[in-house]
Amino acid sequence: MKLSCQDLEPLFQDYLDGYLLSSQREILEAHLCSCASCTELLTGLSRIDDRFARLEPVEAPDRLTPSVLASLPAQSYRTPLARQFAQFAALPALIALLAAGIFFKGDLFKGGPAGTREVDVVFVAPGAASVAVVGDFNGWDPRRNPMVRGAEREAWRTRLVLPPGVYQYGFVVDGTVWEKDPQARNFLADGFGGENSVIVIDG
Amino acid sequence: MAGGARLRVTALLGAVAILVSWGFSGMAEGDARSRALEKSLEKGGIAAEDRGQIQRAAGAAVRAGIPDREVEGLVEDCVEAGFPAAQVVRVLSLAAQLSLEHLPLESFTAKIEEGVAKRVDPERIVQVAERRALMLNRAKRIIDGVLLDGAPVRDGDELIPDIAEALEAGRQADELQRILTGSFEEGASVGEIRRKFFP
Repeated sequence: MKLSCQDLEPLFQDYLDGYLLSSQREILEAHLCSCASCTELLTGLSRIDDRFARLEPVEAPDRLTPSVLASLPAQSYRTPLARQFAQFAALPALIALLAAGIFFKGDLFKGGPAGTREVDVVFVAPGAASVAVVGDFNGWDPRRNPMVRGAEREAWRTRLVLPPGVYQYGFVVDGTVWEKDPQARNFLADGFGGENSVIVIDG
Repeated sequence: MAGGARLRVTALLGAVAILVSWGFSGMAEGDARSRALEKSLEKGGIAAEDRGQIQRAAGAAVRAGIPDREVEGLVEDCVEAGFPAAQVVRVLSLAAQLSLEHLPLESFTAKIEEGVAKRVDPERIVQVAERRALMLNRAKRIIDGVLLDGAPVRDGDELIPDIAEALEAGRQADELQRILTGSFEEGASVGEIRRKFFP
């Protein structure tokens, strides 16, 4: 199935930010080669990014994030990439693509038991039969934190309770495919030829 | 015999009995570990002569302060993953060294667990774990350096695995030392310092 400009437009910003999976990037770049209007739109977005990058950074007030989160309905906590994939769920060409997001749930500022934090994990994998989150918090054992398919079908979910620290993690799809989290802010080479995603849980 | 002297003799005998029973229970735990290990090594198809070497390395790891169960678990993981005997011994001696130097063992064993879960070749897993052990050691030296420079180090040990990972990621020791010194002087929390390593 050929994807239209409208199908691909939601991926533009993540393309510029370097968040796309290689398979997504290939699809988008192939489209850009033959579509002048999308290329123009992407160039415009890139210029905006450049202008933003030249602005002096401004420290956000401490209360900004909690007040924004409090004003949003629960569904809005899904990662941008997860939302984009939801739009593509029906497209066979993209069924095999995966997107993941590890993010704090709404009660980010509430501690879990004994100084721990609750982390809601979402992984979008419409065609998967099983998904598990693995990391140095669970001995990289896919049996320890299996994820459950959410009501939206394409998203897999679980909740982790972690003490503060730096954790490396990834996802195991269908028991064999290892995926990193494209939404992670940091990645580390695992020493085995791959990369792990990194999350920092504040105390 | 006067009442006071009898009391002292009773107390002394009691103390001796406690020490003897503690010694026996330690020996019994050691024996239990040996038997459990022997069973898993046999099950893992490790040759009899190699089993002796692994048992000796396991004993050394326990004497270095690693709990029996952790040593057993580590050996079982390695054997189940098909590590040759020489690599199991290498893992145990690295673990013992870390324990003697009071370095965080979890960070080292996590790397082995990760390699096993990803079905990496055992030799490669040991190389990567060895590198992690080296980085943990360097991380400790960095914290020591910051302390010796006079910075008010707090909870420095908690940061050792994070510093080790930052070193593995290619950050320079000098740069990390500067970040740590500045952060401790500013009174930054462990969490705030971690954020500087992984922004």
